[in-house]
Amino acid sequence: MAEEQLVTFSLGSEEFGVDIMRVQEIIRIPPITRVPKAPDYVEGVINLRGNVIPVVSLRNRFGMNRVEETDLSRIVVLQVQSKVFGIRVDAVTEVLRLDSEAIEPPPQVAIGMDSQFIRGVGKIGERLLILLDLDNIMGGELSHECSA
Amino acid sequence: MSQDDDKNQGLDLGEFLEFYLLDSQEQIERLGAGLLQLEKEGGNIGLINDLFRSAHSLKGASGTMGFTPIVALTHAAEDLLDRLRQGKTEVSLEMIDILLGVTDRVKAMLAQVEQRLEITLGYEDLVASMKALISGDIPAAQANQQVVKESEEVLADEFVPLEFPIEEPDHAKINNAHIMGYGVYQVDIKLAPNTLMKAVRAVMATQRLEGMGTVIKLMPSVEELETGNAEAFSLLVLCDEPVAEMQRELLEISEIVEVVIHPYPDGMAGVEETMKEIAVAVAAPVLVEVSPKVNLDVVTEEKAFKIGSVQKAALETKATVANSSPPSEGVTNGEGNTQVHTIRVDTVRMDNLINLVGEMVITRTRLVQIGLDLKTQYSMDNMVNNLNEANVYLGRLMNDLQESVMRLRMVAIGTVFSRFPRLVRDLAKKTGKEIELVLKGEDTELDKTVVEVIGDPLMHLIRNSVDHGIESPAERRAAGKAELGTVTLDAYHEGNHIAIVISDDGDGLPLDKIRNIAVSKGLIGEREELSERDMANLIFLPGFSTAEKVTDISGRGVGMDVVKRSLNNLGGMVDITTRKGKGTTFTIRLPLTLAIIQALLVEVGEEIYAVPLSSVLETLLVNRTDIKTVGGLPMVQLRGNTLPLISLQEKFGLPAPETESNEVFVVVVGFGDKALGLIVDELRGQQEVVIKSLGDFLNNLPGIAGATILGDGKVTLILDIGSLLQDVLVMNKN
Repeated sequence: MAEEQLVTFSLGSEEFGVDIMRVQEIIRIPPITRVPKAPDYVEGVINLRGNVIPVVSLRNRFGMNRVEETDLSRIVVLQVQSKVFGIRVDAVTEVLRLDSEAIEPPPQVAIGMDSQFIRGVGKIGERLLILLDLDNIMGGELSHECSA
Repeated sequence: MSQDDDKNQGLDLGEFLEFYLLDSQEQIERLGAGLLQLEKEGGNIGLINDLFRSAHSLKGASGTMGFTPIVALTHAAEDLLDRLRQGKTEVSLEMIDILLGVTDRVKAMLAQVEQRLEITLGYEDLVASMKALISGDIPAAQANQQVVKESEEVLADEFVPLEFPIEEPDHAKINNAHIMGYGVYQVDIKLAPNTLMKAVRAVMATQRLEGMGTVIKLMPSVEELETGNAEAFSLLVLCDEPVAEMQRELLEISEIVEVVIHPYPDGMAGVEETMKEIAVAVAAPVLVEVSPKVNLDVVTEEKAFKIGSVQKAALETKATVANSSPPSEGVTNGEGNTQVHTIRVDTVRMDNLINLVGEMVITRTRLVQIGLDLKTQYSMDNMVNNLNEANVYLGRLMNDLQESVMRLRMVAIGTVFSRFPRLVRDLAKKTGKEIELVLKGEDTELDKTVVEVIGDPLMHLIRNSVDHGIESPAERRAAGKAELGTVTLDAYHEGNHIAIVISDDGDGLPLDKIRNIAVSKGLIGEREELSERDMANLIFLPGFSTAEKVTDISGRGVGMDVVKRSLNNLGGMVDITTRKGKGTTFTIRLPLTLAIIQALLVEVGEEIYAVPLSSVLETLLVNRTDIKTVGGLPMVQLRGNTLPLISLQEKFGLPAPETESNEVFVVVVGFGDKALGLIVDELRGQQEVVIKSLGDFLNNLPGIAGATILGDGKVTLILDIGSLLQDVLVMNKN
């Protein structure tokens, strides 16, 4: 039976999952340098061992309120189509396996956020896990903006 | 040999393509440079030999890769050079022109190959003109008698079976083969001297033999062949086919000049087998030769047919067939065993190394900080002192390491210069002038990033010197100068910069004319007083061109301002000095590297930005009351001129400070005559910073040129002064 291995994290009360193969590492929040004129969901850039990588605030991207940084806040560093960037999350919760059968397509009207970022919804008992479509988090809309 | 190469195309040579391209491009450069030297110095035998060798290797390598058009061209060129080498023809201007044409065409073809395209360019015209040149002189039928000698030496060789490292399963195979009556052979293959990509030949030989039997071992291995200098290799083969068949197959591979096949004695059945020793020596292209020491009694059936008559025939052919054989001994011995002093490294790997070193430097600064913190807390503890001592030593090592790593990126500027002699020669011919290009300081090193981009601006300036600077021979004679004009290209280090000087001994810039044109085009006012230097620099203004006739060499009025702009973009500048009747000198000053720049760190609110020091003119402390608003833009008076200001805090949308001080710092930045003041909160001093890209996602943000990482590990943005200036100019116009 096909299975997916996911890294899950939380934003407020929602829980999200990303494909573990896309996750390069998970780090604490380093100093973030604001980048003027960048898209507003780009929180800034950080130094990841000598490489400058952008960090996306998922809360901002999904239209959620800003919150203060806590001890649990993390940056999940992802590699998508050979590009490296980080997403800032409230907390990383666990790594789990999920049967493909337990994944449903995204609902038409998503949970208060743009459905272009959602690949599907996973069910683990009572818990609902929102699976992110990473290709659009950074690239999709940005390239659209550039061409405008 | 080339006609057989179509067969090779089935072979996957993809991974060798890169080697091929690198080597071929090198050879073609060498060929081009050599031809120019030949033109200058005439028939120098060493030089002609060099040229011949380059053409030959190029032909061989292209043949292996199956690029027939290149083979055709280089083959004809090789023939022509061979004539020259044997003194059957003289160096002529026409010949040099045609051969240079060949190098150009091959270069273009290689470019197509590099882009993984089919070669579409034709070659027939050049081949025809080379043939025409050749047919003008006596045909050489019996060239290269030395080859006969070479081959005979081989015949006299005693056969000593090589000790192949044979593993257990292979032993069994060999024994089996003996029992089954298959032949076990040692195949010794000799390559033409200076063959490129020896490993490819070995792979091809193996493949061909695999079609007929089993190849047990290859010595030396493919890896060793790739890196080593060996020009021969041996194979241990099990095969049921006749020996002659194997030889025929192998000799079809280009650059293989000799195939010697001996039955390989087996350890178990040793005595009996060695009795059968039959040696067959062959010299290119297809001559079969049976060694005199053949033991006729033990000839096995498949070898029987070629005893006697073949031997004779072969001896005869050997004397006549020699055209495609390698160049004579004197030519080949030169480079055979040269030691490798350089290696090619992927730039990505090097950049990675530089990155890591940068990280180490940052980590060390943290160590130092920790050491100092410990010292304040435990000032009496000796261990803390030891730690700090070690830190200091580490710091020294790190500095050395960083310097050495940065040196890895340094490239001699000669690589750029080398393309200009040809350019000047062609331009001089086209314009009917006599010009010599003198190159100096080719060993001067500068960063790879600069070398990559400096070529075009330099080319433009040289074109300009040739076209506008140097006068025609008649004019020069009238002015009492030698008819041969000189353009000098020089490079040297000057502090943290490199200076590149292009000077000609022409007539100098027509300053009055330049002034008149500038006035008529409205670039300067009619009464403006200008120094000579300022007048000369007018030619760098956009839309300025003095050439009355527009040539395809320079002119069109887009030249000099583009040159200046591209040099400015590199953080460099260009200056002119000119003297009537004596010539013009362009001096370019460039930073040694583009990867590391000197930057002024400024504070705006909580943020720190780096301003490239090359564009900083001065810094001021300005009272807020002195800032006036003109047309919506803040301005300040600076020595009688108004200086437009930009508040970085507003520009970048940073939160406004709660309390405003009475005085602000203004960093005056600019290129040339355009200046702009940046309002900042604090100056943090000057520092060397390593430029890093913001990556694909955040490319091309207005006002940001890149990022760097400071000693505390935090990312700091580098301002793009050019784009900030542009913004203000646009706003001014509106």
